[in-house]
Amino acid sequence: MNEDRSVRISGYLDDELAPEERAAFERELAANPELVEELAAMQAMKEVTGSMKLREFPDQVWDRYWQGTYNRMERRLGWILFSIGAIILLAGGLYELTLALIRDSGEPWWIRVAVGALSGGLAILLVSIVRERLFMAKRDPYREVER
Amino acid sequence: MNPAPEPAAAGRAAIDETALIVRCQAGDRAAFEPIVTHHMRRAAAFALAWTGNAEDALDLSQEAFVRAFRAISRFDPARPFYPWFYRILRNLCWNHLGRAARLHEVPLRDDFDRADARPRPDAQLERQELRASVWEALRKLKPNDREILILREFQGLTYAEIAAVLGIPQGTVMSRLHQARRRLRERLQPVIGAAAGRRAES
Repeated sequence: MNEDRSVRISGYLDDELAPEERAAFERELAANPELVEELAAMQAMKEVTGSMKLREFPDQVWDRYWQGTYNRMERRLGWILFSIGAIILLAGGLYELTLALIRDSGEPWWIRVAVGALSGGLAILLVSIVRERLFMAKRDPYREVER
Repeated sequence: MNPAPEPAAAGRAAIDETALIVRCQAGDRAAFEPIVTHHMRRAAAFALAWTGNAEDALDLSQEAFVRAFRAISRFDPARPFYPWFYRILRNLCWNHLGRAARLHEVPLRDDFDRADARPRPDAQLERQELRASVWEALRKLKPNDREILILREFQGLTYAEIAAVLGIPQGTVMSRLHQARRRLRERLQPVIGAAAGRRAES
């Protein structure tokens, strides 16, 4: 069947055709039994789906909805501040520990090397993540979308 | 083609969205409340049709609002809010597909659920099975098909409104919707045929 004609079945059933398109479609219907058959099949399915509605949420959900959203917004800020604080403390602590170990020649050399490597590695990872985030924030056209 | 209007706001009080968004962009969180309240039902209903789980639906729709507020400084207040917000919501919903979803239920009802209609128990069971079949068939469709069917069949959006939220021409809405319906019909054919047969017998 002509695809364009067939597509207009949906427009016809949904009452979305312009008056002249509707009239033209009805003329085609009168002359095309295959189209009538397709229309009847679509109509049967539409009657089934049209008789169903989405379940509704209880009213009290809407009373709490904004508060829930606001709490999330507020908590997001809390987590950001918490993370910044934790990162600063962790980075500062590691830096101090590294310095102390370098100065304290009493510790075995391998502990000093391991702590130095740990601190250096964490610093590189942190800088890399921050740089990537900044890069994405400036260039990603879908930045508001979670992947 | 005429520019697509913003989706109908039936049953919701009109709000000056542009002014509220400008305030949000200045960091005023309270200004976001009327926007959320204005769109929450529609957003949660879409998420419910997508997930089949009321808790997930509320979770996803609220998260979408939080993300929208976070990104609001990049939004042009002269444009309608919902189509922009909808893209955030639909992406969250699509991502949700890939995760282990919580137990879902059939989120559909029909007139038999209304108190004043008391059908025979067998007819009630039949309708229940039909709803379950429709829901299962919907779930098995590709996300694009499923999305456009939810917007049209269960949220009642016009073609112009669907075009606005999906950012596509109205002609494309008609053809995409038709293809989606065809695929849904293929899946539902045995069920619809059986239901029609039972109706004819009774």
